[in-house]
Amino acid sequence: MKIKKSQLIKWHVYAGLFTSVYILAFAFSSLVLNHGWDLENKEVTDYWETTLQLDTSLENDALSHLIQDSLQIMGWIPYWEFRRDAEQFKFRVTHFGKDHRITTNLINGRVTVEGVSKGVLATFHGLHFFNGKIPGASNFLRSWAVYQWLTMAVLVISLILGLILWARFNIHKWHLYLFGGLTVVSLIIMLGI
Amino acid sequence: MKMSGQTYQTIRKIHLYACLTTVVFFLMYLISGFMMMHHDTFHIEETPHTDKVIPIKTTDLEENTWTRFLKMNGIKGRNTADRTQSDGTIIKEYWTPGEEFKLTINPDQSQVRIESVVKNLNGVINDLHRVRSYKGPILWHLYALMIDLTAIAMILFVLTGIILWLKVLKNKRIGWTVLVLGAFYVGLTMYYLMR
Repeated sequence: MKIKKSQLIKWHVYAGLFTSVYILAFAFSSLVLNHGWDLENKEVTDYWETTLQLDTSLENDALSHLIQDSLQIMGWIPYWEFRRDAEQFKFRVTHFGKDHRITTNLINGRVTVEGVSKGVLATFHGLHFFNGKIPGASNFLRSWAVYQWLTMAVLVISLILGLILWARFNIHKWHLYLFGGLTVVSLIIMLGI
Repeated sequence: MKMSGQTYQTIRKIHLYACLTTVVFFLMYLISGFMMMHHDTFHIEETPHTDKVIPIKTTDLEENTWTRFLKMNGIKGRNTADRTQSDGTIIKEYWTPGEEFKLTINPDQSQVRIESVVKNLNGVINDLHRVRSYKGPILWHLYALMIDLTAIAMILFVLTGIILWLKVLKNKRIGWTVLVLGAFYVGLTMYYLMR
């Protein structure tokens, strides 16, 4: 069965459109990583307080997770940033889009939360590392794992269809020399470092 | 979308050439990204490779002789750490995809201990994905340049691809649906991450 050119173009286009935002996120993020740009906002964007019933006999790790669960804040807790004395316990909950700096008064259970939203560009960049698995994330955010898998599969399909279109309808001898040469150069750079 | 035949051809060429120029790096990122997503399956193994002590002279630590010393002892890659401990011990670390070196120079600078580990193929591919920035030997600069070119090519794919779609396909309803749904999902994910 011979597939028509118009049909191949349609599939290539739809597959490409499906992956376009994901590709943009990765391309942008690659530039950010390669040049070490710091895009994160450092200013506090929201602040709130609440009172919790706390078991202050708990170790830092268990206590921080208890507070995190009670506040329903998603993210990872960097244990090396724990600060605790007789009165206060400070820690941070972080993920790709937001930081929460949490200060707990161990005497009266008062908890203050400073939220630092990292900003649109930093979050867009953060999608590069996001796989849907953030502790405490909602089911919606977990669905990213499916989207990511699907996007990669569709991307491969789009790429193969594009190469088929080129090979069947648009190939020239000089393409093979030039891009074959560039492929060899790329491999030398990649394997040479 | 109205577009002259020449403009259309130029955009089509940009779309094709952007892909063909960077396809090797693009495929490497695609494969290594997939392997990173499934790191439990594509397990990285590190095996100690070298552990030897070599006598040196203080002059060996000068820049030019040091480069020669590294070459002679098969130490490759980018210098990732350079620190002096409180007792005067100097530690230098070098990293290249699939291999890591740690050089410990004793306080009187009379000998250097060279330790290295090698990684399996999964480790090499994983490391290739992590190379970035314009630092280190010339090939590393070229690698960083290829990263930039691949990133720019990816942006060009998308932009020229959208323009070509608007020009080529008559019925755009499916295309718009796919594009808007994808953008909406990513936008909503970002919103939930930022709030």
